[in-house]
Amino acid sequence: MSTSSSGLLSTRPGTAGSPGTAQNVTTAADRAAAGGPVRLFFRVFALFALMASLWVLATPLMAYPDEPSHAIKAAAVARGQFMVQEGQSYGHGVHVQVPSYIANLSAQTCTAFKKDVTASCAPAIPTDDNYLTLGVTSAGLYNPMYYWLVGLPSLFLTGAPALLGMRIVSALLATAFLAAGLTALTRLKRPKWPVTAAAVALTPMVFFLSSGINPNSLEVAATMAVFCGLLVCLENARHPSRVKPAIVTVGVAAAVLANTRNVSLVWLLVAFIVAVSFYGLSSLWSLFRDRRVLTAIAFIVVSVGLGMLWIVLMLFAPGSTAAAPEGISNVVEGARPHQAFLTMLDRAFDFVAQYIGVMGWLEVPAPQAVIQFWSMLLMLALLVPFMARPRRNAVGFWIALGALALVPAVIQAGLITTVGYIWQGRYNLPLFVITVIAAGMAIRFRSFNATPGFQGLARVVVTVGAIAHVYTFVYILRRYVVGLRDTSNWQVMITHPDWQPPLGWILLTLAYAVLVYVGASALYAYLFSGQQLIRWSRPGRQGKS
Amino acid sequence: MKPTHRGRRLVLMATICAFGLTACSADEAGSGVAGSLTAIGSSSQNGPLSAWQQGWSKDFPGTSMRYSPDGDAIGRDALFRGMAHFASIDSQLTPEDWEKSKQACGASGAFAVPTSVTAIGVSYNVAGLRSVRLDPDTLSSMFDGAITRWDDARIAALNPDTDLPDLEVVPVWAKNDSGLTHAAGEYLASGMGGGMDIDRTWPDGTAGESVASYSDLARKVDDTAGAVSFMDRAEIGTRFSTATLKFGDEFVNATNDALTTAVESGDVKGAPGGGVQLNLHPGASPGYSLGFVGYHAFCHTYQNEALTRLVRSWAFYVNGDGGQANSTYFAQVGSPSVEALKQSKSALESIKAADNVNQ
Repeated sequence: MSTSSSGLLSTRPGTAGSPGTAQNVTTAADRAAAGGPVRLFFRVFALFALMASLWVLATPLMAYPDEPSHAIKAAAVARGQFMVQEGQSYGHGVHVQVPSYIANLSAQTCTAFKKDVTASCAPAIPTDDNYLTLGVTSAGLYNPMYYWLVGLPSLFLTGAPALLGMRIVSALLATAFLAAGLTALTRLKRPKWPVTAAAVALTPMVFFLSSGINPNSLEVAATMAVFCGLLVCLENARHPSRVKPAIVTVGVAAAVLANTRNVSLVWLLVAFIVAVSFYGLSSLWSLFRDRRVLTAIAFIVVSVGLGMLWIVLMLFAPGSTAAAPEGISNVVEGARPHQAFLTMLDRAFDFVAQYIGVMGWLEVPAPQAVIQFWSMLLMLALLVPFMARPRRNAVGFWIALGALALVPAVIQAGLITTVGYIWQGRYNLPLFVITVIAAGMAIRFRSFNATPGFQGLARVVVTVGAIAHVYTFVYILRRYVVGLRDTSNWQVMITHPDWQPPLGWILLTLAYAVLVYVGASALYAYLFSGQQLIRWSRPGRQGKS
Repeated sequence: MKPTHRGRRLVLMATICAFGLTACSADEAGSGVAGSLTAIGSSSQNGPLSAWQQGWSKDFPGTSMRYSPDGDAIGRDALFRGMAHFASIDSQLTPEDWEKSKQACGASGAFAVPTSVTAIGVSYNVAGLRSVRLDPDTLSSMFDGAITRWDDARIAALNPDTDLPDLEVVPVWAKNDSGLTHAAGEYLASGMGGGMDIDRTWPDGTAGESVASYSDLARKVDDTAGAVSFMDRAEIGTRFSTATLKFGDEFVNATNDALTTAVESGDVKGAPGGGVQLNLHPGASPGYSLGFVGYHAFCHTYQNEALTRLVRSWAFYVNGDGGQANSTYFAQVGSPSVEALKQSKSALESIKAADNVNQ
């Protein structure tokens, strides 16, 4: 075998990975060879950020759910409009002052809910339409932290470049936390099943969402980072100095999560409970003895306090002059909270497709082959905790699974009489990520068998998973380039594209395929100590060379 | 009654627009209009606003419009606070409104022009009874509880050849403040008995059953045998039987042509701030004069050329043939009279950019 990698995105020459020697344990030498967590973080971050950036280019502006509202809020917050003033809130949202081209973003949403309409329907966004005018946002009461950061590019750019800049800032934020979470998991003593689970949790939907202007992406990523960082801290409770990056990850991610959306505080609580359930309260108490941990806790407490203060402030903010009009509100007459709770439990599995990939304004599911493949992986994640020995190792998973089913049902029940059924699968993604990674944690002591048969199976699964990512990417491009209709197909996409993203869909697809290949190869090499995902030369000749 | 020439022209125009055979735009099409308008106003104007928005955005692809149907009073308040580019309201601005509008609109304040006429029908849920004849006094008696059965002698007197059922009369009305209630009150007041004490809400002693808002009326009428209600004609559609009402000495069916005849005979006069007022003659002939006029209130001045161009493109689109055809065809509302539209067009010419006004 030629040179390969033995760690995630490591490029060092690996030891020849002889079948049967790979174990579910990383050694100090492995970690040192991988270049340390900071270096690993930046490599994973670079990969994820590039992938998300390609999604930024591939998806027409304002083609993410509610993206105009979030973009308007971001531009307003970046211009100092943090609070809602008296007389600014109406039935369809809060009125703010933003540049005209941003106020007019709903003109870009001609593809929303219409999968047969190509992105060429959207008018050009002028670069000289900058006077401040009224814009309407339904995100007016949300915590301004995310929006302030994302809105910054609109202060020095204009038109489509400003919006792309806002998307890229959002993508960088989200992918930084995704990378931090994944990096943290590699610091576990037995990381291979949890890292495998994390790879399953990083569905095409997670990358798609990461690239739009919507705090949903940051919620998912920060929740993953908090949860994974906490796991590492708790595992090293007696020696926290060994996992300083994980402590920083937990502190920063928790602070950000607490100030993303109101409901994010619930995700933070669930991440904390599930992580502690894997290692016990004694580990938690041990952590409290470390000065760095106490500093991080103080930072988190202040941040959570600020998040809660914002919630209280908005409870007393000048109210809307009217109820949300039809189309925004979805109240079902006669539906009671207990009925909504039971209905949500009924729908628990209906949300799975949205965990995997339902793109655009939720009008384009990922290809059925991708949905079915990823559903198989998720079903395995649901079943493998039954193999946990001792069984108490799976307690954290069952708590996470219970939270995934119950928390959205409880929240929806509380909202049913005021706004009706509003819950979408993407709102559950933070809990989904916790649950899938918890499945990997439940079986972390199980051998990560490196027999040739197991490696072969893993090679197929990782390869198909990579193909699923690329297939989803190009399928969503097809949706915007020629539309999903009876008269448009792959051939038409090549010969008569009706819309082209920046750089063209072919170049974007090739670049995405290369990045996914790099990621999949690195994952496989990490799991099987330097083994190559795709053997470019026949094994028989390897020994002779 | 024969269809009027103007009615036929609007329907033809709307059909051509609907099939995209031509651009049904105002005079300013293709003038680089782009941007977003924010409007607040009456829920009764939701239908026409939606029809105009579809047509306007088609003619000016770089535009969008956000309308929140929060109510007439909230629409006025939003305009006066600078929180809306225009308001869609159920009645003309008052002199007090005009004074208040100067705060956000500048020294010239705001003005309002008629943009639609919403016909009101009297719908009922009585099996087998078609086009029952009713007059203002009979309807008043039904709504104040003096007439409680459909086979009451006073209804029978208006319908001598009709077999009326022995069924309870259940007036159904909406509690919310609305121009529709005001128009219904004016029609009832046109009778010999003087009607009921109605401004924009039904009085406390009104008989029958109430619902929270007009959007809830149709279902309630559908569910209630013997129900009778004043309802937007677009809402009635073909779902309910509609009464033939008395105007002057004539009983008239609620048709587009009858409404147009009544509208064309309405009075057109000036209004505060340089606006235009269209008054129907409730209860009087000719035509079917039970309806209310919807208005758009604009500022005379907007902050810059681009925004002014945008507002003007909307205003002239709504006022023009394309806009009126769209609202007639898709929202089933009538047009203001030819004279009202003509005077409105002149009034709309006064919309200017603040920079130009200062020059």
